[in-house]
Amino acid sequence: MKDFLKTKTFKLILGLAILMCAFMLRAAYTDGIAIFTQQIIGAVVYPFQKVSAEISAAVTNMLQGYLRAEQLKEENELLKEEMQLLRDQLVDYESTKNENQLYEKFLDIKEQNPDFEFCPAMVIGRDANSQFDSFIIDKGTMQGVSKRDPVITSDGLVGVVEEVGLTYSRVITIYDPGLNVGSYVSRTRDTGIVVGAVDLAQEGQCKMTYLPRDSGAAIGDIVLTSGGNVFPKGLKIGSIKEIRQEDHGVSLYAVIEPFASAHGVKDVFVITAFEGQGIMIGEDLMGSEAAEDAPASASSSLPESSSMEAGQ
Amino acid sequence: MIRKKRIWVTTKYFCYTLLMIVFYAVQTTSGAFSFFGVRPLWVIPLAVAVAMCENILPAALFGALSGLLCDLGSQALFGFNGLLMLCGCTAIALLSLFLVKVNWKSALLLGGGLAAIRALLEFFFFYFIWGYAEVQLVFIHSVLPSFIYTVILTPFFLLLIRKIKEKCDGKWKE
Repeated sequence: MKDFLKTKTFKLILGLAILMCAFMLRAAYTDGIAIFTQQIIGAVVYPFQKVSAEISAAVTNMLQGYLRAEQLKEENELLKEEMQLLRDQLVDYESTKNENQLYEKFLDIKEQNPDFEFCPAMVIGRDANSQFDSFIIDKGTMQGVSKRDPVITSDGLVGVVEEVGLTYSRVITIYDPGLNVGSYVSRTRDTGIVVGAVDLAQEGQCKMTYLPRDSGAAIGDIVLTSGGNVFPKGLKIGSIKEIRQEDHGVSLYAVIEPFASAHGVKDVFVITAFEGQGIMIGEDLMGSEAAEDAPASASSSLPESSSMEAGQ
Repeated sequence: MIRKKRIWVTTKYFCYTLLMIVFYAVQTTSGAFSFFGVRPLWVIPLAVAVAMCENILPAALFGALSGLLCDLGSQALFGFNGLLMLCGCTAIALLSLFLVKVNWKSALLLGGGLAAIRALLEFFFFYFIWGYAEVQLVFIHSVLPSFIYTVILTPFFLLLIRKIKEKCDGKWKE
């Protein structure tokens, strides 16, 4: 063993260990901007990830086809009958209709918010370790994506870009307890902060905290983003499923069922620019969102300990 | 002879690197080899298998590479898993060279040990110390199953790496 400590190999390994420590320090210093080494490794593995994601999608589709063969057969027969009755209808009517609905939703968002600039992206990887469904998309700085850009689907808000490389970005979702989104209940205008919770994330839900005790929010009410530097105003988040009292008893919180499920999402849109978007240099994502996105009324009602928690 | 050796050694390490990248792609692919929502970390048992079959320096290098790949696809600070896997694979290579017999049982033991240390440290630094409510659920429902799934793969990777090593080393020793 003593001999090993004197060898060149040991010195090389020690050098590598120091290099790893340097990577960590650099990564901590750059705060979410992928360092050069990360970018290189990311660029090398990116084509493999893309191919793997496409193979996986193809296999899933094929297996689903086999598993649902019986059901598909019945549907096919019914459709054939329907075709005989309605010869003038197109065979791909359903798929065309679905596509139209999807584009209509995006058009709605675009029409309502002409200042939004979108970047369509495909989910190419998922973190096997993540408990909160974070994922990797195939767009990065080369396509104009930046850190803290909101990520949506046609159904609503999914998350935010946490780390960005040249050709990829990592997105954390609204199930993540570290992400705080300033929000309000559309019917009552009560404000609060949407945040993830470990127990709720397992069921694909999150919660809206700091609702006033006299809040008129009820089950089924829709929750939207209240706007700020990170998220534009009016993005749909989800609907209230349940209202509960916080442990400290000062305020209420609502269990939110997000409209857009991050779990199986394959295609997303990154909002690369919107009116009022700004990056607060020197503040980290988690802390700044709570401060920036939470409306004044909600922020002022935060207990000091909670603000600290939001700034993890 | 020396030229032949160099070619086959390079081929062997190229195969290891390619496997590492391919399995990283599989690891980050949504739904691939997922059982009840649990997915393994493919690159860890692969690095452990390389460490058990190769010398110390290649073991350390492939350990560091696997760690950096884990960092790339996770929320961990870039270099955290790299450092951990570098030290772990060096230790495994030393143990395999001087103390432990290389077989599927030792692969389970060494792979399990390293994966456990990695999982516990990651859970501690990324979940536990932040004081999230019900944090034990993360450990029970995700960290533990993923760890078990990862460890089970180690003997299979040992077989694979052994086959590649025998094939490549056999070619230049002929």
